[in-house]
Amino acid sequence: MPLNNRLKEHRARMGINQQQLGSMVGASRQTISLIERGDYSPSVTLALKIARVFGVAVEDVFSYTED
Amino acid sequence: MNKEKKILIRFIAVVVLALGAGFIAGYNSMAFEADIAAQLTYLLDSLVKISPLMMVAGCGIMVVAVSFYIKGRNTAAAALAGDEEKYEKADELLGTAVTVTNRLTIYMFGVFGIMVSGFGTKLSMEDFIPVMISMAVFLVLLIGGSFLQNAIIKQVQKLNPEKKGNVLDSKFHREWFDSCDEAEKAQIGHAAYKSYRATSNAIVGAVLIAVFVSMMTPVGPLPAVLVCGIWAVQFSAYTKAAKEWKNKK
Repeated sequence: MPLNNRLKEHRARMGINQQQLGSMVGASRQTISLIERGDYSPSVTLALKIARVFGVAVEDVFSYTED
Repeated sequence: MNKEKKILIRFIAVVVLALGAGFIAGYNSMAFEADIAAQLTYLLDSLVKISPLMMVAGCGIMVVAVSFYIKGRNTAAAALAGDEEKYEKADELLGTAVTVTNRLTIYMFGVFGIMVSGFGTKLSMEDFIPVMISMAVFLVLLIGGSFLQNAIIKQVQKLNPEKKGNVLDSKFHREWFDSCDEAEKAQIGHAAYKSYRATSNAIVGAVLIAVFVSMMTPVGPLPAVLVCGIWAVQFSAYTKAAKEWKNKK
């Protein structure tokens, strides 16, 4: 997967579940689950919203690696 | 040979084959009076005769849909009680229940169309009771299917509170789509494109069959006109939506 993420880790740190994170960023639980599994690459807007909720830079949540 | 040439050759081959099949069928029909119409009529009459049974068989499909719904509802209850692992399973089961219910609706209308085509001609007074039972089954399944879909969607909305819309409302699809997030809208777009391609191919096949049938039977131009009308609607909707998307601010 070229887009790696640390969503689960940050979520655990904040003690929130997928549903709660979804509500905070305007996405569904399924979408959060897809992103965590690396099955969906979020838009820049959504990635920024997620990073803002975690209080970190977007690069701390998502990282890109060449295939 | 490059890709474009291959595509062109395949296209020409399909056109030549279709022309050849049409020519042989037409020549066969006119020169030798091959009774293709009678064979086709026999096949359709047989379908009309067994249509009441086919309608009752729809109850079996309904049982399958209900069983998926019950399993989905129970799994959803476990998910909502705190078992996060169950969410995906509940989504899957409820999704299957919706799919089966939709397929049942298509099946029922198909069988209903076959059955009513025989009223007054192929179905005699002996068939009166089975036909009446089938009509009752049709109504029960139609209403039951709507209630089941409503119950499934309500369950999905419990799992995903952000989802909006009421199945019984004509604005359901729009409200549901509007309440989807970017990933879900992308999924719907992908599925819609696949559906567009599949229906385009099906329509071309249906036009050929409709033209062929109108040549062989006294059915008239209605089937061909109807299919071309659907084709026009599909193409217009696609081009309109594509243009709107392009001009979106």
